[in-house]
Amino acid sequence: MKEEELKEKLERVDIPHIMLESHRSRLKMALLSSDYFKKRKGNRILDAVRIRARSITDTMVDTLVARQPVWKVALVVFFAMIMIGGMVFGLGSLNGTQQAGLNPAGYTIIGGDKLTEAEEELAMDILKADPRIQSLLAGGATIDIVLPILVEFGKINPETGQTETVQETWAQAWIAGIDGKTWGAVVDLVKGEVTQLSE
Amino acid sequence: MKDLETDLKQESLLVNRAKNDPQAFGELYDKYYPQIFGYVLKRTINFEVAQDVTSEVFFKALKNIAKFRWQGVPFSSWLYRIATNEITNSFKGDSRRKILIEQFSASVSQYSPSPDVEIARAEEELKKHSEFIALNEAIAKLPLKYQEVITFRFFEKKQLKEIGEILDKKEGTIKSLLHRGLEKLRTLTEQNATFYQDFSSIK
Repeated sequence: MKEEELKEKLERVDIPHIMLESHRSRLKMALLSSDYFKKRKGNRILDAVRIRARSITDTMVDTLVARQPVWKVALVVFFAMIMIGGMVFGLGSLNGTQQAGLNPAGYTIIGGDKLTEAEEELAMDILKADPRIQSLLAGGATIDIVLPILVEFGKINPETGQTETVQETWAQAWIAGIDGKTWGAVVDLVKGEVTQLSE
Repeated sequence: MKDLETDLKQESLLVNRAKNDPQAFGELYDKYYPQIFGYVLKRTINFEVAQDVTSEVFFKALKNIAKFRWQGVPFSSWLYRIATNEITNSFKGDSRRKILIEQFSASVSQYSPSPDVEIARAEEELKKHSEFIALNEAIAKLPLKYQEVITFRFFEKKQLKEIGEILDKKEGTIKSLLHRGLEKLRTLTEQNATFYQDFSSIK
């Protein structure tokens, strides 16, 4: 057989076009429900937080503490970080009813270490009992991340009439919708309510 | 030419969206699954292996799509390249694939048609292409570099330029690989023909 004949044979051979439909659909389902997209969503949120934090810190440091002693720089950065925490989790925008137990100065996120298993379960229960979150979950959303936040605020002691500083561990959660939307929720574990839910 | 450029531009936008958006990735998957599965099946002639390798290709594509940088080459070339590497791995008996397949099997819906029935039906369909199978058996005896170019050129109907993009080789290299591959295939088929003739005369 000459090369040309072989080429012709290869050109005109009847090629099978066979598909396995069940494999096609099962693989698609497995791919689209894989952890990849959940992780990407988490990364995007963290990226956005990092950018926001960097931008605010840079601006404050540049404008307020240029050529100032090191301790002043550290102080301003500390307050900037407190503000960032408030902005990221929307605590600064609680309404009047929600602030009833707080003094007029409001409160501050001062950290967050680790939720115990019981606290995490409690946070999930509170989240799932909230009608706004129930409707999100019914639409296919999922609760992705539950993390602790340590909040500090002043509270008037009714017996003494004095303002006392109180620290409480609350929780924050990210809720991911199937359409790519994400909501942040702040959960007051002491009162057992979702104090903030924002897209 | 302009249509091709527009298509490539639209595809690059879709690929960028697919990095974060499952729906966009699903669109890419729907577009390219038949090509990739078909290519893998033509190279392996085995439905079990073709399913495993195709699954691996798309899981790898998903895992690495965030790193994918658009360089004016169709997305399909990237998928074909992954598929070619995975086929080579499957020929070497790479056991890493099993992990992914087990994960994948866990999501099988009870409402899916039985894969066994479907595979049996597909195998019957494949048997009808006896000339293709005979040619493929001969091609499978060639070194991998020749198998790849011959399959892409004649069974996937790819141009030399595109084969070069997939295999990351120059067009001239592909041309000479194809020429030498065909020459070896011709010798092989002639030897086989002689063998079968001799065998028939002995009988």
